[in-house]
Amino acid sequence: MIAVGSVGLIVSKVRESTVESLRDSRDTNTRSALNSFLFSEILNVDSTEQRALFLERLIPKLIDLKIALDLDDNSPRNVRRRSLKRVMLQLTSEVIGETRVRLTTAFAYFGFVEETIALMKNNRWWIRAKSCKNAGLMLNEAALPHLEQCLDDENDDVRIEAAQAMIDIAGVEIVAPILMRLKEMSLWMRVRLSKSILVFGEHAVPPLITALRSEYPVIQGFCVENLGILGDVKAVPTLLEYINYAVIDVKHKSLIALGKLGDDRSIPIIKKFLSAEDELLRVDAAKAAGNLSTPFLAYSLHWMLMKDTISVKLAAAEALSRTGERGIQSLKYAAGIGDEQVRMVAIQFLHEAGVPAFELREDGGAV
Amino acid sequence: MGFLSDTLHFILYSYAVFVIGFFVFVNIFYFSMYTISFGAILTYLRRHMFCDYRVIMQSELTPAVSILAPAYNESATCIESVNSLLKLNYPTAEVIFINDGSKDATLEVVVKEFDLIRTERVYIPVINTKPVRGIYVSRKPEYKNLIVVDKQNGGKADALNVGINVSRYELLCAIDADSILEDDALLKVAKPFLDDDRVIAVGGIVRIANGCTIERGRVTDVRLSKKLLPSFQVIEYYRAYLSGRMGWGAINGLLIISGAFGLFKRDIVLKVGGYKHDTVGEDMELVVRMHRYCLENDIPYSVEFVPDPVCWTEAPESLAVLGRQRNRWHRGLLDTLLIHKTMLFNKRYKVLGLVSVPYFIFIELLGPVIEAFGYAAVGIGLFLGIVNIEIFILFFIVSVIYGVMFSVSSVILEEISFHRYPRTRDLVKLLFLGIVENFGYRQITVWWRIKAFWDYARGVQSWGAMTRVGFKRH
Repeated sequence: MIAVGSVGLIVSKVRESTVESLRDSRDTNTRSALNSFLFSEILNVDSTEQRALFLERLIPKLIDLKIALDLDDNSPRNVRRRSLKRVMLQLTSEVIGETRVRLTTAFAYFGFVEETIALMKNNRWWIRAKSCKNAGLMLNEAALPHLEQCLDDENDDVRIEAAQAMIDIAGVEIVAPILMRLKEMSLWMRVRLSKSILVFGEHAVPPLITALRSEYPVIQGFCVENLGILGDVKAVPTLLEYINYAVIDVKHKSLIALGKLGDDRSIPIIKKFLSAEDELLRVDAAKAAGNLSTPFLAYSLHWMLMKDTISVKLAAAEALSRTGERGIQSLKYAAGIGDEQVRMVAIQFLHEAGVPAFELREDGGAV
Repeated sequence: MGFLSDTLHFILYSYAVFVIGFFVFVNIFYFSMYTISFGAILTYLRRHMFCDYRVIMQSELTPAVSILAPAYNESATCIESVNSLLKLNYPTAEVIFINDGSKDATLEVVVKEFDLIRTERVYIPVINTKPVRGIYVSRKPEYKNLIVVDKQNGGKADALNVGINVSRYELLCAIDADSILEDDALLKVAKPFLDDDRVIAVGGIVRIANGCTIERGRVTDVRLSKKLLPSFQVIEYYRAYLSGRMGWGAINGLLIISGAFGLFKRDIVLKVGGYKHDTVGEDMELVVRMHRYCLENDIPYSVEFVPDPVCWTEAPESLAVLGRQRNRWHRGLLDTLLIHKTMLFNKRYKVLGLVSVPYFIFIELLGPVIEAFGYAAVGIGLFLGIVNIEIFILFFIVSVIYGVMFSVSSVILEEISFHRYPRTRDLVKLLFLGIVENFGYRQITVWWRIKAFWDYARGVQSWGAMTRVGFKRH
């Protein structure tokens, strides 16, 4: 058994390069045939009529391509078909515009879309996930209802690929329906979908605001944190209203988002949270205040630095160091009269704000 | 005389039966673990297909990491190590380099190279440590993520605890300052934290860099060392990581995350009090304590192992240094298992109490003792003529075949999954060494591990000098 395993391993290692080179050679032939289909006689497809005409003229070209592929190679049909699918999927990231439409049409013509939809019901999760991913690359709207069903899949990767594919096919309009449909989200899913949604920029704000109506806090939190990352102040009124009745986790995220948005309309609500009972909320509020860089919150922050817990002190001091001259004065004052911990915290952030330590020690009445 | 002979005969016979039973049990266990590891690696590879690490790299939602690099007398290599850590692909990370009271010019070298100035940063000793003498940051913006802490010497665990106190981010990455991480290693080892918020610690695979080519802190050409000793260790690492830890991770029974490369949730590390500084097995002890904390407080959790993120380390090339390393590892294992002995067969600790701890006590810890007694018993039996030589040879061949089978299986596992050694010649050599290591090398490692019991009983706490030849750099 050991001998068989060892010999098999060595043989497969040696064979590896040969198999790869054969595959590369086959793919090169396929790519060459596809290139003549994709890049010949660019047509205009701006209007519906033009599009219909375009499709009509594309069919003979597809037949030519099929014949070319059949004649080009002596390998079995399924091997040629796999090669064609592989090369077409590779090309999806390389072509745009009218050429991309040709590619999308070819996927449907060769039956790859149907094949992919059927595989979305496969028992093995990685086949389902791969099919969802491919459906997104094929950009065929026929896949949308099937992808929607995959949003309820038990496997996280399948759900992620399905959501991603739906966004690829239908664009920003589908973001809100996807988010309203989802019940849970791993951090990985948040990271993946966030990237896809942020691409839409300000157009993503309305669907994210719509999806705040989701009954699941994890989805609400996702919408809030992405509104913050997008940085579009159109979201401020909604967040200001929403923060009052959000669950505690989402409150944290809303504070961070308001801080990122940096809009002065947030000052009253952030001030309110600077005296919240929950320590972490006070920390987040202090961080948000730091992002706002407004002198109007300096007084509250100063008292947090003097009287609160060490975590809040650190957040408040950092916020003060970003609040201009008034914040710096407050820190200098704390460095002079505070207890040992307050002094240390104040000196650290004065130092980080560029006030040299020697200056503090010598001037200050401060230290 | 007849009574003595009968008694000896009975003892040897009983021991032989015990050893055969032990042998069968151990091999069934190894086979099961190998099967679980195989399945876990396949699942990992399948999940890997759907992961684009650039997305993690670009996201604001990726949890930030504090990288802790303790150093003692590393003036020769510290600049390259820090540079290598600063260049790692990760969206938000800080590198905390802790100079553990080095007697050489480690601190001076780092201060000069990175243009550091002493800061007034607040040091809050959440975990008690030896005094911190100063915290330094760079004046250059390109090194804004570097923090250098100078402290009184207190050992690696104490230095790591200082790093934990200084750290600001939610994940902690503990590494050896003289290891080399691949560019995407941190992204890959952080992925399980994104997949599942119950994950509290993740271990990454450590590979042997002897024989590889290193350019500007990166491994650029992977090949086996021409020397025998490091090559034997490559197979040992395969067995330990791919066939062992991968399987333990899959059943949430992983007790060891290498001190050379592991990622931890900071809040849990703080809750358990950080690293224990009076043990030489501080990396294993911390992981066991984290398990215990979660189990005792009914916190859903998992400790995972990722076979792909690569940390390269230099393996000992001399028997003396390797012996000291193995001796220390075994003392660390013994110490940790004694500290947590109440977990043994305690169903409150689930997989840990019923499988992991018993395995580590009876197979990993006591295995060398049983093996050594076996050699002695065979010697006595042969001398007295009460061991059937044919049976002995047959048993020896079977045990060697099993040993070879597991070594070869580990090489196969590596080859079908990550195949880091591209040359066929290296693969053939590894397969050959999987056979050869059973004759001599294996027996030496048994001796080192037995000696560890004696050293532990004598109260030896030292790490032993780890002389390193140095990576072949270009």
